Amino acid sequence: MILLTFLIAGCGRPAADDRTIVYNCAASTADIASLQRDARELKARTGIDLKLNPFSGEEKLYAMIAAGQAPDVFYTNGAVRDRLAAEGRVLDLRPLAEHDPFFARLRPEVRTAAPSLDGGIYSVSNWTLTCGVYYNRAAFAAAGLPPPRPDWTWDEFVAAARRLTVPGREAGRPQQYGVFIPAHFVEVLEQMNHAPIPRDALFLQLPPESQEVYAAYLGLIHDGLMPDIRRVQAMGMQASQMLQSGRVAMLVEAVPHAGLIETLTIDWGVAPMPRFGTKEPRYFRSASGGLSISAATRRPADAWRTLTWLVGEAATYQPNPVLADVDFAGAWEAKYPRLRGTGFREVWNLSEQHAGGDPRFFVRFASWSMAPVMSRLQPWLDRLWAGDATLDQVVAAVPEINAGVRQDLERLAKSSGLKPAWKAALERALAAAPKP
Amino acid sequence: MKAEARQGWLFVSPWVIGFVLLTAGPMLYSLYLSFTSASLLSVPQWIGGENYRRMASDPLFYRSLANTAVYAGMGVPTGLLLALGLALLLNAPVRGIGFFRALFFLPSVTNTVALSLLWLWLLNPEFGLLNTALRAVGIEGPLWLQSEAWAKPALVLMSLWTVGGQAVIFLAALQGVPRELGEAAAIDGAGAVRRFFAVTLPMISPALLFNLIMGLVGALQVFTQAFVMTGGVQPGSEGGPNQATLFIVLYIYKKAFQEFDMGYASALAWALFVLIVGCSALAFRLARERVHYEGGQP
Repeated sequence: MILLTFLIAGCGRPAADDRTIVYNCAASTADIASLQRDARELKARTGIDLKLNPFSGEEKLYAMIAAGQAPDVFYTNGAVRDRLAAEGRVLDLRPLAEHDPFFARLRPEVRTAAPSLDGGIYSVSNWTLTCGVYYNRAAFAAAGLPPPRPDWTWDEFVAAARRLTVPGREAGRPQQYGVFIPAHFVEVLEQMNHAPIPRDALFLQLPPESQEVYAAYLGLIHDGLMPDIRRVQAMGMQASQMLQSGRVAMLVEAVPHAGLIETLTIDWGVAPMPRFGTKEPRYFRSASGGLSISAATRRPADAWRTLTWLVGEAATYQPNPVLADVDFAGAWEAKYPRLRGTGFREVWNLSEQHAGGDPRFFVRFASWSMAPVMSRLQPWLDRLWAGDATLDQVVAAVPEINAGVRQDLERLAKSSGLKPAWKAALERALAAAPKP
Repeated sequence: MKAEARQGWLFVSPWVIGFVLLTAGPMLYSLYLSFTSASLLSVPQWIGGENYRRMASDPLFYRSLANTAVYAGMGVPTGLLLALGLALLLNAPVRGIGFFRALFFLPSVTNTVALSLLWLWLLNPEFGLLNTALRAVGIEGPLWLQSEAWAKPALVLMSLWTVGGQAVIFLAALQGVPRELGEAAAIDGAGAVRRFFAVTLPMISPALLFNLIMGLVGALQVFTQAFVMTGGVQPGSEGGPNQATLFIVLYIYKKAFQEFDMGYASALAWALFVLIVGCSALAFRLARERVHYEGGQP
């Protein structure tokens, strides 16, 4: 009986005229409800049935792919995308994109970031963002500070943080900290300080410009202007809650940030990231994540139509900043009138004028390097934040970290899973990289 | 084959089929994978003992083993002592004892993810109950899960919450100890402590061995709470602060599902299997002279 049940269950085959496209959407109740409305429109306009598969983690995606049940369209970040592409699991979108005017609608930096190491295009960015300094206007007024200038410098930023820090009853525990910068934004500061950040690097580099930034960041903690990162992580608070609750007066966060806009009830503004001295700004602009199509899809054309519709037309994701023909700042202000006068438009426009790219670890390292680098670097960063290691010790550990990474990469280059073009690219990159 | 035997096999066949297909089959397949360079998504390629050689020189393997050993070393004896103490209390003839037994047993049937979320709050260094209580007596509590030194003790503390299961087994054993043995010892002049060590403990030693082995196996396989409470193995959180909670199963998960290194992950899983079998065998060997079975040999 059990075997019979399995046999019957395994005999199912989709009908020839079935135009269902499965999309791994974000597991957010609001997004799902909105996408369900959008799906009806897609069906009416194209005949495609959009089936939503709420996405709850990369592991689930890998398991689905390994089991031959990959969704047709799904989100990948740069590292995941390249790894799946190297194993032939995602479609090269070039033949589909070639004659589609949609591709020309994408912003230039989004198109530039699209090709992978072998020249293929395996995903289309579905969102882009920059970051800025959200600040509490009342706190600034109370400290007698004017709102930040768009071209303010790091020194001015630190001076403001100092003025905004309000001592608490207990020594060393301010009632209000001047600023909080989540650790993953240190990379953004490295870019602002003109640290050379090559894309798809195989190995870790911490040049002097990066070291300066790490030292400045640690200085904020040691001077009591910023809370201990570990304590903030342990509190389990969203960074926006820290600004909302008056725990911090300035906060570095993503721009745009719908969740933050929807939850902040204080009088706030947002300023560009501070510059380092007289260096030209290089603002963070992300174009790293995007939508990919499974190589196992039965209907590539329908999957591509769904992908372009999701990025360019589905109301849930509009206005979409990856589209060049959209006045994103204006359309976002129309969606969230509260944004007018906050500085959002200036931050956005400046990031377009001085786009520096995406310096984040999971983008700057090649897909196969990210895990080997991070598993070795993160413990050092943990110790650095805890005060158990000095910056000099971290810098001194870089050759050892890279030696381990090289060992992992040489092993990977011998493995059977990679497509020949990717294997060759890895071998070339390894041969070209200086040996530690 | 006799009709009775055929019927027997027929009745056990759902379990046998399930075991072969869902347990023994995958186990043997993972043994095969451990000798290959399989990624999660590619066809396995035979590489002989390379994964095992790699393991021998992998510092993270040793780190995860050491973390697991420290966790087991702290958690298993503490858990056994607490469970035994609890069982002795729950064995007392007081009114409403059934309610207390249920109360202490309840956490052990609660979902680990739910418990982990609850403990995340209890261990919160700013607003958590533990540090609030410590602050009330003038002690500034540690950062618990964000502290390299305190992350493992914090998880051990949480594991003590679920000793109710072990306590119930001890309780059953305690209730099986013949009362006349204690009475005879008392007549011979033995005090309460002497009676416990000379009579009760030997009589419940099979339950102690069982709880020891099950506790050891559970501790060596610790995963969920570390995954939920210390940020899993995502980049930016490589198994807790400075990998303090990178336990062996968490490392296997990281290799298999984050880095697609299924061949190496399978080798790690088999190393863990051997470790668990070895520890259990050692516990049995050491217990041979110390565990007392009513009526002689087990």
